[in-house]
Amino acid sequence: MIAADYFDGRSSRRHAARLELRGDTVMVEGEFGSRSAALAAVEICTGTDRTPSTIRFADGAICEIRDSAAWTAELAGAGIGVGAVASAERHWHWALAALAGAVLIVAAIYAYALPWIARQLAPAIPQAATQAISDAVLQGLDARLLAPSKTSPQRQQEIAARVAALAGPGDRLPPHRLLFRAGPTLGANAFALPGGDVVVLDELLALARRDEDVVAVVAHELGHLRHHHGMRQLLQSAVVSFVVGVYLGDVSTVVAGLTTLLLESRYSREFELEADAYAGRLLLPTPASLEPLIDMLLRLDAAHAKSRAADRGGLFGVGDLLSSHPDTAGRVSALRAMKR
Amino acid sequence: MNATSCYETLGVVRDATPEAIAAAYQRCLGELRASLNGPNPPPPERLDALRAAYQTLGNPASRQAHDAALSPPTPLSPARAADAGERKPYPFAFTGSGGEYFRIWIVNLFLSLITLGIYSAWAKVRREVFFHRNLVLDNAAFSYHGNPIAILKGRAIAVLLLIALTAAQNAGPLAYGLAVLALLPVAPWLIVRAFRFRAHNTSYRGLRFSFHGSYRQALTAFVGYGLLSAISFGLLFPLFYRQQRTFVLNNLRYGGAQFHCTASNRQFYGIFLKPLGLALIGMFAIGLLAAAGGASALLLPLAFGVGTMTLMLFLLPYIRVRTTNLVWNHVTLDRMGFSSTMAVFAYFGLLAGNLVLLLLTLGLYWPWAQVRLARYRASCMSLLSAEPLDSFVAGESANAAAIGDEISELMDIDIAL
Repeated sequence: MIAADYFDGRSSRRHAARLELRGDTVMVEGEFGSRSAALAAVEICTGTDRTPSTIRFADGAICEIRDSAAWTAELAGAGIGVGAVASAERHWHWALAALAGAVLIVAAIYAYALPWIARQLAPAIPQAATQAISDAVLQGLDARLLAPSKTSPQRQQEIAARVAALAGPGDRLPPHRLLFRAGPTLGANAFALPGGDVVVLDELLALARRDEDVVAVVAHELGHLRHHHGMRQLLQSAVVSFVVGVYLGDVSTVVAGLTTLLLESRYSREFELEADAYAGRLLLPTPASLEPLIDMLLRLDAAHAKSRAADRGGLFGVGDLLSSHPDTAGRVSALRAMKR
Repeated sequence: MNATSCYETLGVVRDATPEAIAAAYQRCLGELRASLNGPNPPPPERLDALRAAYQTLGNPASRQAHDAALSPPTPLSPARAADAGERKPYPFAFTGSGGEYFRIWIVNLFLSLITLGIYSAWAKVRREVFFHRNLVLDNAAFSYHGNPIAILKGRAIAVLLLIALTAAQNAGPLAYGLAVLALLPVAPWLIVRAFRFRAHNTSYRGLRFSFHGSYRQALTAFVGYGLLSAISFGLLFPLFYRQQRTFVLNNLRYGGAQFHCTASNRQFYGIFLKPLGLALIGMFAIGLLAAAGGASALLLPLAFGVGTMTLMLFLLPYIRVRTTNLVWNHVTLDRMGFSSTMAVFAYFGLLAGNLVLLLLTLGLYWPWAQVRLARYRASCMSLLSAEPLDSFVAGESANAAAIGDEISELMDIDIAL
């Protein structure tokens, strides 16, 4: 016999009642009378030390049991447990195991699952969509940061021809289009847009000593195109920034933004290495081999370090930490290893 | 039927609301029908009496005439007699502990992750059950009955909407604007569905809550007043805010009893005046800084940061505390009232403590923070009633077994707002 409050589901009147399990039948009786139902026909919700347990009859009447411990024991006697999830929620060791498991899952998704999914999805995105995104980005850049190139059309064609000649027998370069621009604020740089446009800045041509140097950098950008890095980056950063935003959005948008950048820099580091490897394969058979690429990496690094020192724009050196081309030494040694 | 009053026939109190009278009539009819096949069926006059009583009380003019004819007034039942006396506070209490909620939270988070989010609907039910069952009033707990499958459907719709919005955002400002415009008429529908689901799945003492707001009301309160607030540069925001709160409360019922909120626009403006003034002073100061130029390259973002922090840490909690008190101190439920006594500084302290501990624990303190807030909110709330809380009767969901399925069919979508 367990004390309970009975509510008939039609009024809020409380009826003191007593509850009893007899085999598969639950009996409630009190001044209001008595009723019984098969255990299978009532909805059982077991409470905890602090919360009441309830049983709900088919007609909406409920029995509220304050002494959940006694009721749970009685139910256990009838072979009815509280359920696996509820019982895990009651134990600290399960909770801590769940915490460890959750951390592991998030880390695995970040390190493996998300990059894998992006790699599968990116090539499947229709060319029209990637081209539209590229065009929008290029328009924005042309309006703000880029100016028409001063490089002669003749030199442009020469470089394009040298790039086209990179394709070995039985090997096709990813579809691409070379575009030349001047980027006074961007410095020596070249970048690939996901639609296939490779933009080469006049400042890069100025930094290069020979055409081979430019071709080496373009080969690296072709690596980005070959591996769909643009769309993969877009997909991955959409997920990362969404998750970080949900997790940290209440704390501060600045903290959320920095965390997102930090997490994404790992992805872009992988992309750079992948693009280097592709460029390496293209350049190895050429007469100058990998030297122009290694040379340009070192000189770009030096040039960017100089411009960073010049404007000291980033607060607290955060810019260095989050640079998307970090670890030039590591990349150079990876290329040297390829050569051997 | 002059021997007994129409009130006694229907079993309602003399100042019962029309809704309560209608509910009582339905209940009496139900009982009558049920007893027709029983061992001692009621006399046929019983049905006529019920109908006559309902017709008399259903019309304001005839009800008034009936009231006038009732002299001396119907003898007071014990409950009615108490009504003449003081209203007694019935305090709310939250009994849950942070450790308990941490375990529920982390176990369900893990399960949600490993099932790629599908389990999150079940996790939501477990969370709601925890917060409802730990909320106690007059030694009885609230309950939550949400169906995880319904919640899962709602989540799927929410995710689809989010993806569509993100895609539109990426496609450009025009597409994004169009998407937002297209969502405007959908939002009130979602809001009504969500409140209905939430109310219908909350119960106390075996009676369910219900929500009766219409699409048109939601459209007025959320979209209409929202636009007004936007084009008035926020000067009409207090109106908008009050519309939202009253839309929810004035359409909420517990059993057959209707909530009603009488807080006025004037009182809402009284609360918003101080934060609005502070915000204006802040913007003026930032404007001055910008005008001063020179060193402001670094100062300006700093000033904006301080402004946003002030807004988040002080102004919003201030508004939440004051409006919560205002609203609940002006809510009636039949002849009962509420009292809410949240204190601004105590609430600041609570939030600041929670924030510090959240940062120190990388967010793991979250469950404790939620429980502390729930405990504080409950401890400041009381129901004021002169009689025991026994006298509520079920509304239309009295025949839950019959209509219940249909209702849950109608309300199978839940969207967290």
